[in-house]
Amino acid sequence: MIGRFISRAAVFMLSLFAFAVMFLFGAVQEATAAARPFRIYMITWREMTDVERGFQNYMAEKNIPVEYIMRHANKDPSKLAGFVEEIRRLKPDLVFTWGTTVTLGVVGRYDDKNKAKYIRDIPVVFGLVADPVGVKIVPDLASSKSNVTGVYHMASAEAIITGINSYRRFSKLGMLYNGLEMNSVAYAGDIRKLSTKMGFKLFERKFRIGADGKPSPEGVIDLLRDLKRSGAEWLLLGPDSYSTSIGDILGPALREVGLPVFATTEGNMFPSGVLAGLISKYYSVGQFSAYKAEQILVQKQPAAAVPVETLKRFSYIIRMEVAKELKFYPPVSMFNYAEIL
Amino acid sequence: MNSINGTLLVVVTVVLTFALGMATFLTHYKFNSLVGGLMQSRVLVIGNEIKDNVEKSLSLGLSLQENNTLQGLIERELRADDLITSIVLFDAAGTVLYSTEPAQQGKKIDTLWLKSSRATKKDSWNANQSNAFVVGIPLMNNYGVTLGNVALSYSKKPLERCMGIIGNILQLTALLALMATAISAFLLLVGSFSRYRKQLLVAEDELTALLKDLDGVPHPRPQEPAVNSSIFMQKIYTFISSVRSATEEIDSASISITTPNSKH
Amino acid sequence: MDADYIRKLNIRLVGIVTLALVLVLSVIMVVSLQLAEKYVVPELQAKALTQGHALTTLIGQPLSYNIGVSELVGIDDLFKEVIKDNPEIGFLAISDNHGKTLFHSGDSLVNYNAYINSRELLIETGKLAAAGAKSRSLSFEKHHIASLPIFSADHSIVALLHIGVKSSYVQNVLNELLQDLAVILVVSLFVTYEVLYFILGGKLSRQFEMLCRTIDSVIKNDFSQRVYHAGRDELGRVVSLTDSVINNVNQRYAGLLATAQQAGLLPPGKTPDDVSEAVGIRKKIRFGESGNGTQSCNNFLGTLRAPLFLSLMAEDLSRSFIPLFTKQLYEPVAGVSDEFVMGLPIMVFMLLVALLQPVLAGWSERAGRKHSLLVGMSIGCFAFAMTANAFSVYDLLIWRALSGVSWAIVFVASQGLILDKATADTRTRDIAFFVGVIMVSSLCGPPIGGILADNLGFRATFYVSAGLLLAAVMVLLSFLPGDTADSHLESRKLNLRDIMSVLSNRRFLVLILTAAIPAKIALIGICYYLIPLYITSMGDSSAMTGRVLMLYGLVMVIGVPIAAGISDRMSKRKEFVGVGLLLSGISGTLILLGNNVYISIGIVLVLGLAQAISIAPQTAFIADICNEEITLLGEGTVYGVYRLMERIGNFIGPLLAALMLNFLGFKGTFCAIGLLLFVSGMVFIAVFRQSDNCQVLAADAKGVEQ
Repeated sequence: MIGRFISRAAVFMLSLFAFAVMFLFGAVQEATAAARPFRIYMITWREMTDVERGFQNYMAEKNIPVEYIMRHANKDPSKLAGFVEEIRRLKPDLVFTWGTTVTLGVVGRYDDKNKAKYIRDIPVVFGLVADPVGVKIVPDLASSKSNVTGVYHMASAEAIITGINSYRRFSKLGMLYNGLEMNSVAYAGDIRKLSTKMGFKLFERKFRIGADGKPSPEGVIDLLRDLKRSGAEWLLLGPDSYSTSIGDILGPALREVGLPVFATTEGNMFPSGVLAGLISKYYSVGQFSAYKAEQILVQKQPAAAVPVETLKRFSYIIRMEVAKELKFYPPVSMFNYAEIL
Repeated sequence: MNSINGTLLVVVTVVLTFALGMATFLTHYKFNSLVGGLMQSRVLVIGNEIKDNVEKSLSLGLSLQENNTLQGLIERELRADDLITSIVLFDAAGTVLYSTEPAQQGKKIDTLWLKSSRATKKDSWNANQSNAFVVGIPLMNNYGVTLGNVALSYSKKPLERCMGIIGNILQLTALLALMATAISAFLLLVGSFSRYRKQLLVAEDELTALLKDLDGVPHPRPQEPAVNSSIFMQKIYTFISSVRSATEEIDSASISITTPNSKH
Repeated sequence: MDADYIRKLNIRLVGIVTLALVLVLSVIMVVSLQLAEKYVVPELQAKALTQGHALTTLIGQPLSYNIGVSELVGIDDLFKEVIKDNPEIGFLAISDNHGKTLFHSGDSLVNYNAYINSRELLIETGKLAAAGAKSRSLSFEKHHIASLPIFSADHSIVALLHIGVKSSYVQNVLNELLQDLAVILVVSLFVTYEVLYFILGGKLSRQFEMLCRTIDSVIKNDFSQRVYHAGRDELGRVVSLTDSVINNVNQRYAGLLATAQQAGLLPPGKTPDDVSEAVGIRKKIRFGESGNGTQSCNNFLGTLRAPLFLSLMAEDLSRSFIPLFTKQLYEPVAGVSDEFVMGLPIMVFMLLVALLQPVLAGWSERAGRKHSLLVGMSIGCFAFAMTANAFSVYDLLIWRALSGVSWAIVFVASQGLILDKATADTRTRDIAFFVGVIMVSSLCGPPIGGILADNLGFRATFYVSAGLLLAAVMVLLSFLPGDTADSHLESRKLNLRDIMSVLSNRRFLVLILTAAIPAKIALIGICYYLIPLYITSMGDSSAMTGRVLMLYGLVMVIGVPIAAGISDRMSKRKEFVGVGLLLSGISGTLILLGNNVYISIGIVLVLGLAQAISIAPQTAFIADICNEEITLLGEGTVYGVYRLMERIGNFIGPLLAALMLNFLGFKGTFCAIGLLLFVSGMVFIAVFRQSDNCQVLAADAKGVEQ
């Protein structure tokens, strides 16, 4: 007993010592690194978003010298292979990827046999991936066991339901999503599971599929009216990229039907129609990604040692204009923590 | 202790002093923590308002360093309660970012504050300074990293003044209560023990007389006690007569031995 | 005046002291109430005001978006939460500027409706607000109401927020104080006894009794007894006079004998009666030795009691919070559960006590009792001073181990001292005295320690412990006579062969495994480990833990002698042991009834009752089942083995509880220990039911030890 104890104490002391040495070593490295700026290869899906701004501001605030190589995929996945080629050639210190598609295009699935197609030696930090385990970017949140780490941006389904409940208690919830998107289907499944556990009724509607086999915005308003008729008190918008892409159609439709809408991503917080949301601010996601990049570049930690995480605190956003239109006001205590737009 | 009375006095005084000492000590501390706790929670209410505000602006993407509304915020909150003497907002390294005392800006914070703020596992921390109490609240960003702290100092004087008065009143009360009860309890006890004591004194006289008798020292007879029906005194008298008859027996035996003509 | 009278005097003494204590403590209580009224109430109101200000600021936010006051949502929830977090707030209400109460939460407004909805209040508050004041307030019988303006977007007053601070809240706060004062009362009473013992050395009843006995023998013509006691008070003087008188008679007789011898009248080798006859004394008188009666007085018990009490108290002070203190120091270590670490200091302490006691017995005899006591107490003093400065769990464990060494030395040395001095007829009583000190200390220590810890902090309380031990050393140095080589008990060291041979008695083994060890597991595991953690896990203070643990001590102090008496009279020792075990089992399962401090009180009370019932009978039962071993190896050895085995339970208790807590949580752990005890009890009963033929021997009631 005592022997075991002493050995534990010794291990503890040793690890303290080792930690101190590592710390000193890290400081020395940091000092030498200051001489040359880090080169970060940054790939985004569309134009520049708050994610990159958050990332770059973080680095600037921390006085970490960085040289960015910016690339936009312009919503075209075929461009990604070219970027991978370029990364091989330029050998940057770190690659940052925006969103699920870009990240998969650069690092592939972790169980993909064809490793040559992807970047597997330079550390890659991703931001704004909804479900990195589900889409097999990493096998496990604690560690990718490879050169990848990053930030996912979804609050848990439970947190979302609690978030809606704290605005107003409900017993019937509607969902509208694209049935062809794996992400959305999986998310609807999560909510369905919760509905029995947390005691509410779920009504699901999917976007209609057009003749081309792709979802179409047609009849959206009918679907929404149908949901409202069936008694749904809220409409929940999951991390559905199709919804995001038809915001200019969906927003006004939601407004017309007059159903309170709760969003789960910043992308779905349409200026009109959406009442509230519990989301990761793109800016914060960018900062957090930069924080992870800092751990890899400055503190010299291997990417595998940096866990994949989401934000500790999400932003509760309320659009007061919509609340007024619906005469559906948030509870007073929410003004303490919610962002009122 | 030459008398049971002395013993009783010591017992009563020691016990009452112990009890009163503990009680006043305890009451004093209770008041101290009660009043101190109320003052602190008052300051915390304001501190939390600041925290909510700062964290909201942090999630909007404003950095702690470059948020020009924060100076106004802490100045406004300083006026919300006159107990508070100063409010300081400092970053994780301990550099003062905003302060209601402009001279402090850009300087390093007291190391004690920094140490307390880093050690805390709770929502708030305290530091005790010679002239002020400090409560601090960590400010966290969206991903749980502490970016800084807001620290509110409030004067010790109101608490000290209050506790000074309370302490004086308590001590005075305790002292008076001690004297009054110790004296009356002592008198009561002396009364209770008086019969016991008197009988022992009589027994002492009787036994002294007996001893002198035995030693053949002349002495005046002790007065016959008035009434002595108690078992103890009866025992003493029987004891005395037993002793007398035993000594008589010995004496007569020795006379018979030393007198040759009575030899058998 | 006889022994009965003295008992009455004793009762009167305690009665008067109790009365005086109640009186002074009530005075403190009454004064505290008034002080609170005068100095705490204004602070409460100030805090409520700040809280109110924060609330009006918050409520002002939706209003700034042009939401009407009556349209506000979630005010009720907000109010309820604020009332929950601020127990001094009785109600919260909002009235609009048309004299209507829009929102209300908490205590009834029946008596205040007219006031809070009045036009005057609205105007008044408006005026005050314009002048820069924050609120308008007024005291009523049950509440102090502060009214704060709520402004709309255009800075006009649209409503008032009313905060009702409970007038009764101060009393509620002081209830805690009342409980602490009650603890002080109980502890002071026991301290009275200790002080009496120290000053009087038990003279009042004991010496008087011996005086009466001696006088009685003289009355029966037996001059061989003496009281042997020095003292300068009334009783002491009577005692020494009595001794002198007896001595005088004996001297005379010695003179007679000398004369007779000279005269050649004394036949050698005859009985005293023959001698008497020979010298011519007709009556049947027994004479004794003559001498000055300087035989050492046995007041050493009184002198030992104080330092012993102090050093035991030093250890008992920290009972209620040792796991919490550990938790505070603890930094998670991978692979070791928190619960286990919190139990470690108790385990280390118990382990050392268990291992060292047999070893130390011989040492303390060789080194001298006083010397070993001094060494033990000094080590303890050092250990506590270091504990107060502990910076990690690791060094804490070292200091706790040292405390264990100190405790074991003090225990062994004082036990040895008492046994050295005890004569055959005072032995039982002397041991009971020893056990009494232990129980009283375990009763007084935890609550006082809890109070100190709450008010001064854990570390300061350890300093107090160190101070107590220092005081113990001082008392010992100045009052206890030096070591004399008058030990008349050759104590035997336990060796492995003895242990094995005692353990080979199956029934002894069963008793150890099903009763002795489980009982200690329950005691240490529940009282010293689980209860402190459980009570504080519900947000209660260390003082509360101390109070609850005091109840255990109280039940023991009152229950043990009663149970011992009854079980001896009924000669149903094993039944008492069995029932005690089953009751201990039930105590653990009480946790299923709920989750509050009353449940923990129930657990401790039932456990205390169970231990009180079984402890003395269990010890006496050893003599019943081991009479062969006792005749062979001596009582000391058999009981030594029993104590050693029992202490294994002391060590297993916290270990088991800590491991289970990690997996089962509080409910599961309490239940599991309860179940263990219950099953043990069943096995015990089953085994000993069949062997009903065992002879019941009168064994002295050796009592408890921890």
